[in-house]
Amino acid sequence: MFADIVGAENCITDPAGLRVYECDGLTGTRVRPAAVVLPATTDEVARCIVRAGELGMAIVPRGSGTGLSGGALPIVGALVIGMSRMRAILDVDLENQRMRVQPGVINLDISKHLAPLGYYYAPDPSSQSVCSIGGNVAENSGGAHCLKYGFTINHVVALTMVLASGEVVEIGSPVADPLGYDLTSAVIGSEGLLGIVTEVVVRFLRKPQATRTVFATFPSTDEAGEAVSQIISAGIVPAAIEMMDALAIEAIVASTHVDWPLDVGAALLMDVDGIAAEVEETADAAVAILQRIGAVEIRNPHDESERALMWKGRKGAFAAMGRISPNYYVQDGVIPRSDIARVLREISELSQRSGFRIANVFHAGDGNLHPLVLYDARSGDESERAEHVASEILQICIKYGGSITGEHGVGADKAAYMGEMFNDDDLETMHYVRCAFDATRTFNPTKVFPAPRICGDRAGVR
Amino acid sequence: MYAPASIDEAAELLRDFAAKRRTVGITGAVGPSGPARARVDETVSTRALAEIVDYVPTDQIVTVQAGMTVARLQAALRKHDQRLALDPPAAERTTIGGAVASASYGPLRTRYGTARDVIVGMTIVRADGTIARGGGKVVKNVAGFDIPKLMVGTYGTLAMVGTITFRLHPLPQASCDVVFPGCDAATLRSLCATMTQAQLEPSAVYGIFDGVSYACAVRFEGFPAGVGAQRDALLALAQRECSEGASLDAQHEAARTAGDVQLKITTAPSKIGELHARAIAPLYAALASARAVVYPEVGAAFVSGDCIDAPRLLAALAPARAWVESAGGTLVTSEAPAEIRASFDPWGTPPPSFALMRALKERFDPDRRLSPGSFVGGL
Repeated sequence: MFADIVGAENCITDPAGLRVYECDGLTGTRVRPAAVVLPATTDEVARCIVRAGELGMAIVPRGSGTGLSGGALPIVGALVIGMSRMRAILDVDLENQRMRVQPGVINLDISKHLAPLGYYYAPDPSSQSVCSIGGNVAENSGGAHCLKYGFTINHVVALTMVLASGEVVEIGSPVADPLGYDLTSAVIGSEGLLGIVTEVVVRFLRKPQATRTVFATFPSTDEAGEAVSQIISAGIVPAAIEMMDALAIEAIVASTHVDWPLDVGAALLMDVDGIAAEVEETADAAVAILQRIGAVEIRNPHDESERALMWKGRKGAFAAMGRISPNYYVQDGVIPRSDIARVLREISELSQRSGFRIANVFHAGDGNLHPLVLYDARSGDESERAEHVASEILQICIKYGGSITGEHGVGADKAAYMGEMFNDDDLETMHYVRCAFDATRTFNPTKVFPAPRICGDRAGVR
Repeated sequence: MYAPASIDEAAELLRDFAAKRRTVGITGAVGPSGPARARVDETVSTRALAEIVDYVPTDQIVTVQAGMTVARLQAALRKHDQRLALDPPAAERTTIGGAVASASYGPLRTRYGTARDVIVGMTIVRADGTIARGGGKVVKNVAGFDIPKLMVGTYGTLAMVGTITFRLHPLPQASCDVVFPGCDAATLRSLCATMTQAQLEPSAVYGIFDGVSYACAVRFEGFPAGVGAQRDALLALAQRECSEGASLDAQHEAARTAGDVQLKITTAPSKIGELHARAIAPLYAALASARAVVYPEVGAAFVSGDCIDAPRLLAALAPARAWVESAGGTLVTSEAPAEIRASFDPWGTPPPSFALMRALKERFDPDRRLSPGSFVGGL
């Protein structure tokens, strides 16, 4: 079907080969696509899109397949276009701090490439050693350090994109304030519904003078949550503040070499970075707050390797759940920061009521929760019940005025909840954007929106 | 002019205008604005929508109606030692909605970006009078398409901005301005490069042009120890004559607001030297009472003054825009007398993605009633 465009070796149609592409990081749901192609150039992407259109196939774009909401989950009969062969760094403009890359470039490889020059790319999702920049653009990925530095949308300035017609368009600009509507903002976080991005221009930053990492433990999540609130109220903007509850600590200790205590209720891992003198001043002020709130223990890593280990523990937290439970469901929701303690108590009550253990690992600074519902898929209907418990957590987030997703996306997993956060008029307005880019709904047609909507000849027609 | 007192009232007005097929211009407190002024049947002002809807200092989140002025909002936030990290000029009369709709910014852009970088949610009233929300009241949120950020810089051509939710920053405890007089345009960049190399983090850098040379103002903000350390480091590295404490804010404000001509020019920061020779200097010379300011970290310049010789100004604008656009930037006449606007497109050449912009306009405003023809490419 597509072998003449991408070469037979990059066109996968056999069942064994397709199995790899049946799901993304949302492993509980699997669908076999009609075919997978792995193009190497923008032109090949465009030709695959045109061909798929002629064949009436929907298209599912795919980066590294690490997404947790099923954004790259195939659709029956669809063509999956994987970007894994488009991994070139095309241009580095050091003076203007811009870098043009292909979408398959791995997030961490951007920073690795820049490290000898003293620069880095700020957004750092936990999966940064395997996730692709194209996937980051689709999901508007964040990470622990987005508290201070922002998300993908704050660090990507221009895109090359192929539309459903096969047309290649340049969006945004490496130069400030391009004319017209801010299409870059529309495309970043659009979860593969608007087209396929084939080049990304990122803005990169100079490394800070200093970074100080502080690890602190607390009797319970109440004190840890209060400490986060007070640190931020003191006018300190940490680069990151991560919280882990007792269950999360247990799993991380079991899976890595960190020597964190197991007899505490919560831990905070915090980075303060910036000007050396300011880092000292603010880190000391933060430590004083931690002590005043009643931290059990406060640790400062002795060297870079100890610091790296602490962060490795945090970033490996999801995978670590495998050590304490056969299966786990990763939830992603957001609440106002000041409600952290209340919401954690509600989640704890939910855990007791449902009988499911729930571990909490989250970006406390911006109220982005990642409750992990632990279950055993082999035992009766536990999978479905665990998923139900996870959905109740989303209801709590909505009740507190938060969001059903802070960074994992809506994808296939949460489309049903969009209607609880947004009303029909809100969704219709978002749908205008989709129709302007992809009126034929070629890309990821079943994702994000809760109910099928068509793009009428003119807006306002439902 | 209509000045609805609630979002519901605004929606009712826009529904009514939709039914009557009236064209509508949205304005803040001052009056019609935007580079190309639209001829519209009706004008809706946000001046009676000027309240804080919700402010939770502990969350560093505020929701404000579009018609509140930037200065009033900042005053309310200051009481809680917080601020919106957005400093457009004319803060006393610029409304929040106007600043968002025109994507306006000031020197703090150096560190904090533009409105799109601090907006987390928005309520809009669509052309058909429907109220719609996007985003939320939490900093981190990827549910659905980012309608709020898409509305930034749309000049009321896609929808009316009703309320806006922002993330806030702590008010810095200390601040320090260092001014280096007698710089040329290339020196503005080399000072920036020196600071980048030394890992300094200025919150604002701008250069005021006086017709001969630039005075470069550098602002450090934060906690006292860090501010002092950065100032000391810069003074040691720059090896230039400088003054401390005397801010150039008044000159900056004048360069951004005075005159009947206001131009905004962008380029890659690395091309600031050439931008000066090719655009700033000739445009400055073609204006009376001319002023100019350059943001060397951003790659933006603003030139203003009075037009007393339209043919001469037009003769300077054309080659300046030609060079700027060939270098990947833009030259926009944010303000200009009618005779200039009549023969010089205020915006310039539409970008390569213009067809998508037109498609967006068709979806949001299918009858072309919101400030028709006033945006880029006649949208």
